[in-house]
Amino acid sequence: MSIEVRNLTHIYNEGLPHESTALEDVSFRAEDGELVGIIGHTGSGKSTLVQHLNGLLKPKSGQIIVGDVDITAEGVVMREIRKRIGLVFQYPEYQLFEETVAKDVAFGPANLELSQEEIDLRVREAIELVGLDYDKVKNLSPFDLSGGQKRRAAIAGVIAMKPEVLILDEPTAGLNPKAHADILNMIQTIHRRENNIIFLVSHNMNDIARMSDRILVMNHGKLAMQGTPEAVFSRDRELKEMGLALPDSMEIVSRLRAGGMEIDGTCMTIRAAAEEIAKVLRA
Amino acid sequence: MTDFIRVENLVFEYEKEEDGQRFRAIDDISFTVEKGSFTAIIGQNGSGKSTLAKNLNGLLVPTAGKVFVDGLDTAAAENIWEVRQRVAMVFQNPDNQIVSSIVEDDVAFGPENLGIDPQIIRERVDEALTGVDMYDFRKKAPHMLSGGQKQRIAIAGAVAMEPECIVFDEPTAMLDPKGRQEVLSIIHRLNQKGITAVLITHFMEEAAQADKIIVMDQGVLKMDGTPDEIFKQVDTLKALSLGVPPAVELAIELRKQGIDVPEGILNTDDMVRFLCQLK
Amino acid sequence: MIRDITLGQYYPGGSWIHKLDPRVKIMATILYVIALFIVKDFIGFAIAVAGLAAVILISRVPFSFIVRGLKPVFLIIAFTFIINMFMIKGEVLVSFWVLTITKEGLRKAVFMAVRLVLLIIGSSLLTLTTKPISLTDGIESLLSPFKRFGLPAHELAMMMTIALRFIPTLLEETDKIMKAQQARGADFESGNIVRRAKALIPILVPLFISAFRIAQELAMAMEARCYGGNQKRTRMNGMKLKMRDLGASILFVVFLALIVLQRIFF
Repeated sequence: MSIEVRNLTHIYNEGLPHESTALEDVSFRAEDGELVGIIGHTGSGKSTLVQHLNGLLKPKSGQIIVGDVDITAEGVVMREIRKRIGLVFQYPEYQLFEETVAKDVAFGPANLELSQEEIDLRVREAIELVGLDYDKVKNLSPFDLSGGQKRRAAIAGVIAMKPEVLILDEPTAGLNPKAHADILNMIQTIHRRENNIIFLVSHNMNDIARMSDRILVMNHGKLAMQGTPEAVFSRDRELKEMGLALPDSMEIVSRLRAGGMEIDGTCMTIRAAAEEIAKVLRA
Repeated sequence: MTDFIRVENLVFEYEKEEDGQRFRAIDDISFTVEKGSFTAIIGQNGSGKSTLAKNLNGLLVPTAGKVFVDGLDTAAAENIWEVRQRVAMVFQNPDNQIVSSIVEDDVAFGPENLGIDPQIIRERVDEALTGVDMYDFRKKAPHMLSGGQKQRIAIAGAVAMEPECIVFDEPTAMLDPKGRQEVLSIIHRLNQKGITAVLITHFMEEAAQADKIIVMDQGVLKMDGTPDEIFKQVDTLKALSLGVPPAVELAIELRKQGIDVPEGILNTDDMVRFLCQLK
Repeated sequence: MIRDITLGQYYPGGSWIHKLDPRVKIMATILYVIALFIVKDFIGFAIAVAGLAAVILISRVPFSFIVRGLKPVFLIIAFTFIINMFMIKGEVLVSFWVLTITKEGLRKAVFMAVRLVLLIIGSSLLTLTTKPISLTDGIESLLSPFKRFGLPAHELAMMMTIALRFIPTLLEETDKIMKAQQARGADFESGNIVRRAKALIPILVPLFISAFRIAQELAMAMEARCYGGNQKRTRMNGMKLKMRDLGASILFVVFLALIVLQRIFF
């Protein structure tokens, strides 16, 4: 299954004095099993883009084709779309509302009008998949969980819908380092288990470098770059001009190169950077 | 160097809602904050760092032990306004500390509560806003601003009270990288002007810029020292699920490769400078 | 998108009306409304319209904004008109089926409708030319003499200020919550009344919880900034009555006098 975006354009407040172009002629494609990172400065259109992918927003022009269905065409039933494309917003724990964790996770599948058996099965699976102990949490109130647990419960609510495409908007926002790492591991687990397409929007370049198969770089509503992490992050000067940072190791290497050191390779981890720097210094 | 804040055998407990049992959030910690210094307090969630922050300005009072601010006992009811004027606080959520729908009005909130003359409040507000580079936004509505801008307003609101110390409780946790930079540079600016700064954070790179780091874990003070001293103990930090700044990590890896990196290199700038003059 | 809503529809401007002390404007609006009920015939309304027109011109608020305030209550005005038109007994003008329109009925209907329209335009002018925060300050000041009778004027004003401050924030929060639940397949549009009401739970519960969390954090922040109720608080932007307030008050008294005299003598 693939998802293809063709010439997507979206304008906010069209015709009004504060009209603004949020997306301009964006085109890309993602294949089954890919984890695509989306980066860009605040206001570059990342959020607008992902809200188009699951049909929350309709474009002014352009198409979005999921599998073989053009979801931007007339008469498309939105519920069908949401079955296939799941979107986890920032700070998803703020949307918990049910009396128990199990009931809250069941909200999504219930809206899909599945059998009660199927719903219960999916709820259990989803809660386990996000790393929570089903038997322990199922009857707890979501509001009695810790911050990190709440976030996982909220993500479980979307996973339970078994989307073919999963979009995560800054899933690690506001988390302390341990919870941050745990959530990233959780995402990898989910990816491996479901083998779906995952879009990961993030400001954290280290995360993006580590997790992505491919990266989309948004800049002022346009898709400025796309490619593998190595390809994208090696264009450090362009990224800096767009106001974007590099992964920590590449930031150091980039500045060393600017200072005259000729360091090889992309050095996406600190260890790799140390090895390359050592080579240069020994020479 | 005088001690501006003195924490002596602080214990803080609170009652858990569900079962009425008492939970000890802070267990017998002692440390001092020198006047004019920049202290960072680091810890995981549940380490008690936020609870500790609120004990420093009397929002919470100790269950046992004492906290002294400029010689004043925070537990004494008659001291409370003095303590809070001396130690101002900036919280984590940029939105939920702004009271008014006009920026300059919000910055004036603190001085107004202190009963200060309106003309002087006007001066303080203008100065505070200029100090955080937000003077041009003084008539704007806060909900139109970015997270970083809102936090700067909150800082201006604290500065306008003319405190001697400001406690920043995870001020950058909810901000994007740009906002984070803005806020950190202002904290440094204020510290350089002489305001004692206490920064509660879980970002190692931020703590690296402090004069002193205090590491907490589950209510206990685990480490207390300069960034150099703290970051040397990598294994302890890892065991506490805390990392080290990228420059320190690189230094460790380089030493493994046989390159002799001296102590004291804690941030990217210093590392780049050192390596470039090595080649 | 939702953030653009300005509560009370304040129209920024620097006119004399804008610059008047909010207390003067609030009192004038209240007395104006009372005056509208003193009026008994259309001549009185003519005086009111003249006064209103003068204020509108000086305020330089576009007429389209002023009329906007009538849209939500259009149905009420129409309803009032129709009820009065058909219900009053008197000299019959037209009759069909069971309905009768009398001369008196028509006159009453028009009278009531005009009064409603003038009332709404007058109150709209208050919110169009006065910043919400000035309104709160004005109300607090006007209510403060009643503090000695136990009225918590300051607290009420503070509540209003905070509510105004957080309405855009809560609207944004509602938007986010709606989108998140829609992404999980929630449907707010279809179904009967009961179904749609139930569909609101996934929005209202998180919203309430957010509101409580905001309240807790805000209270702590206010305490940290030495807020302690009302004891010896000063205000940076104090309200001071100026010459133009005096002038406006005198003109308004003249207006009121005309209304009353018209009622008695003409």
